[in-house]
Amino acid sequence: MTTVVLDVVRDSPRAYRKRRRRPGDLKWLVLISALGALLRVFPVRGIWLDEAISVAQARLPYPTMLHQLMYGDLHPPLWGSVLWADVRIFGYSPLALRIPSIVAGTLCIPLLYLLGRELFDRRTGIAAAVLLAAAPLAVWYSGEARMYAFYLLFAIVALLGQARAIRRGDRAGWVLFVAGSAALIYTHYFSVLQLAAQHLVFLGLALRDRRLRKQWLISIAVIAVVLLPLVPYVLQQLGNASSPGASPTEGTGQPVSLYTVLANLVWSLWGYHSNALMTQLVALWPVAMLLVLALLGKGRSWAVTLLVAAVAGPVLGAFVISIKAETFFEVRYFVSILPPLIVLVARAATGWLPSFPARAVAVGALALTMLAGLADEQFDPANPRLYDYGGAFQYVSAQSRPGDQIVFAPDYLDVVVGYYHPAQPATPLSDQRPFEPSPGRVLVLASFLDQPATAALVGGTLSTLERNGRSIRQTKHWENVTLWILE
Amino acid sequence: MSRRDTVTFRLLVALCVATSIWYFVWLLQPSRVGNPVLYGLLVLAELFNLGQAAGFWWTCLRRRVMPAPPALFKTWDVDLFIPVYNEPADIVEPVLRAAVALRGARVHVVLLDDGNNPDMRILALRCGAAYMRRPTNRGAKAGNINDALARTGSPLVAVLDCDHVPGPRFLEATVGHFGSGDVAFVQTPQFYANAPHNAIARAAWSQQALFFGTIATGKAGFDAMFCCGTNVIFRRDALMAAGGFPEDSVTEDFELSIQLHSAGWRSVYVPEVVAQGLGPEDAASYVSQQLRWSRGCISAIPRVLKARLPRAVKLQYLLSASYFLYGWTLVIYLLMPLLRITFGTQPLAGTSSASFLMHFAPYFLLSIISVARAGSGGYTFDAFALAAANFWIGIVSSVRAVLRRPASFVVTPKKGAGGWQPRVVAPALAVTGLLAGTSAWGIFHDPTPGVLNGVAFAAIHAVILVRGSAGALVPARRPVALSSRTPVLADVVSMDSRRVS
Repeated sequence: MTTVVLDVVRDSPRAYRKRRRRPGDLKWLVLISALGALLRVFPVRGIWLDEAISVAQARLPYPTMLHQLMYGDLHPPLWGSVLWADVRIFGYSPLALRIPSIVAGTLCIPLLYLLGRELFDRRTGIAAAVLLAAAPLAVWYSGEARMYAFYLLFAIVALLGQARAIRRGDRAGWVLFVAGSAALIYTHYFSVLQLAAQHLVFLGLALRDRRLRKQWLISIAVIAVVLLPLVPYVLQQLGNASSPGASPTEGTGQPVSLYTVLANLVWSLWGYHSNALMTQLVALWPVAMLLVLALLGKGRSWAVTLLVAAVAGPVLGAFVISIKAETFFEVRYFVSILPPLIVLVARAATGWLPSFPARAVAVGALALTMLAGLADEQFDPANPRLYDYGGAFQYVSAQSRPGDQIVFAPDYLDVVVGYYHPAQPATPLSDQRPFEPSPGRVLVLASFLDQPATAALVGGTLSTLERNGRSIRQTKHWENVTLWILE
Repeated sequence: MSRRDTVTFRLLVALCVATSIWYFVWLLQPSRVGNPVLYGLLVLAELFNLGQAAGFWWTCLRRRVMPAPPALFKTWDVDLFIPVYNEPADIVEPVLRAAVALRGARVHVVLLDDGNNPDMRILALRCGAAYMRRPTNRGAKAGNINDALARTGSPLVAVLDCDHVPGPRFLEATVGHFGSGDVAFVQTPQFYANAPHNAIARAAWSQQALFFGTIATGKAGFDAMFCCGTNVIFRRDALMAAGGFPEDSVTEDFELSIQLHSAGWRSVYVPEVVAQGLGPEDAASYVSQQLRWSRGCISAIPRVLKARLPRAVKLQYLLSASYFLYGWTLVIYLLMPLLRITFGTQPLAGTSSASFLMHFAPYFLLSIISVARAGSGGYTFDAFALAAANFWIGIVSSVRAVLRRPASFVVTPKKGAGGWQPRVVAPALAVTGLLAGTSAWGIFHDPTPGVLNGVAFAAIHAVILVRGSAGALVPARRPVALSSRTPVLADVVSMDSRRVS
């Protein structure tokens, strides 16, 4: 593979000096990554529904799990395979389940430094690493036994590979790009939105450079070959997508608008918060106008274009898709926007300010706001993303006695019940068959009560029980979980 | 400008027009009326800005690559006037020396001294230039030039401000255009050589670059480029036919241009930097310059309306003359969050933030992109903030124009005083204080999303006003001596590409 360096992106000696790593960088990077790892390990949240689904799949023999994914799920197989291996090595504790995500989420930090340095300079790289270490959304998904930390990791690898391929044209750059792109698609199908944006940038540059065009076309061919085994998988899952119940959880329930886009952008930088706080934060949208004005006169570069495309492409793509299916406009489905967004913010903080103290204050202040967002995200019980099934089932196990009947709703909580396996058997409530209470106490555990069907089912069951002479002795709430004990 | 750029810009303008219609159709629905007075004010402000934006897009679409000047079939005689009024000798000397060395015509440099300074006489003689002074200062700069017109006789007359050093191509790039008998004047760009060294000059240059880069080439496409007072060459016959420079205006160049275009003469704009000058180096100088320009432009509106000009040319003049009225729109925008936080009064009703955003955001975003694109990235946030922080200039000028208060010609200081100049930005600072105080009260009193939205609007206004005022609050660096100006002319390219190094 010959070396291709576009004239338009060739380094000046000054730019090269600014990008070259300094000995102190490694020390800082280790420190930032270590702090980032600590934030990702503690605190450990309880397992929630989607994680429990993954765990249930990982319990199966490997070929059965792949079959189950292919015929009963909508996700590509990479994450399932990683989790399958993880549970057999580390077991099923919440921390053990999250080891792959924690490792991937921590690896994102030094990789983002490399991306920032490759695109701009080492200052940007350091600032981006600091901000990602504290980014609530990155911390959130690094603490979840799902594929989103991998989504973040491979998104950075694909961007880093592209940046190297454009700037240096070396083999390592193209290999990183191809590997990152393929791994991304094997991790989450929505990553095609980011890759499409990246290829548009390639197209724009390749129109001006014949040698780059050749390398780019080869990379597309290699990616296509690597993705071939996925084709039957995708075709089958496209069929699954039309079947009911493929994705049990619902979206925000709000119509998709620019307001929704803003809410998702706030989530991406400052994490998940209570609805009341989100309403207040999104009301501050005029500040975005200031940002647009501040961009006047800042010039353009291929690096900025690449990052803006990597942010705008997935958001626009998800926005268009969500016109048909509103639940798809959800930041986790385009979580790949977080790394380029953070690099852009880091670039603005380090590139627009004239002195080191000003830059340090700006980056520090941003990181502090992110840490505040992280604290609120993790500890505010009003955060609608928190599901404390662990606490609820621990309580149920402690309170239940022989003869008690435990029921739960909605029925797809069976995977969560399967994970926490309370002391007494639990059965799902169903609107298909009538509930027949036993003579002992009835413990009704419910979640997703914001969904009308679930609320109606639970409300109906409680009314029936009360009509039959039972009375509610205790009502207890955890984050998004409620327990009624009736005697 | 390449064909690709032209096509891209046309597409961008098409999108701008579409998003403008999308927004204004939504805004002008009767059901949107909240507080009727505020709604009326908001619509007025928005329509004014839409008019200016549409005028900008229309002007930019008319940009044409300027043909090279025709070959010189004869050697012209040019009287080159350099009016001075107590400016420092070290500012004037480089201009004189460069002027006498000009090639491309037989040039007769005349220093027009309204300051009656004996040192200027010696300086002129030392540099090989003629020296003229007059018994009175009647008519300020215009009177000074008119006086010299009566005492000289070359067929062409060039005017350079005493801080604008002509480059060797000044005459070569311009004189050839007078081969066409209907050309009254040839204007070239003003370039601030001190822009890299001074924040105010840099922001002012950014404003100028947008005008001389994009707007002026567009105006030239309409044959509506007006004279900007310096770096310009006139045909004496045209000047004399117009009765010389009007002496009753502070923007005599603008008014003269109206007269010349009304009389059927043409103007030519050469988008090549052939002279380098000094921009205002402190806030006071900038304000002084802008006050003069805004007063002159706003006062000229009735004259433009009455002038017998082709419709497109008249519209172009109106766009320029009314530009400084933007100050009134800013007051309206500043008022909105203050009233919303304090009284909960809003101009709009029967809608949601999401709906407003869906209609307004594309219009706003594309309008900004069009400015950025048309200016090739040369128009900066600092330039915008500087203009915004001096919103009061247009208000003062228009009030004075309506009250027919006499205007006096104030020469823009050529060297920044530096230091603190809080008085100059007192209006902006007062408004900032009001915004901050009201916002703080709102946050503590009633931090509902509606109030927070108002606070966010107040915050962006405050940031812009503070940024635009910073030049008056942070002591300026030592002014750049004219003799040590960066020698840019060798590197300068056409203003078409706006990449002046």
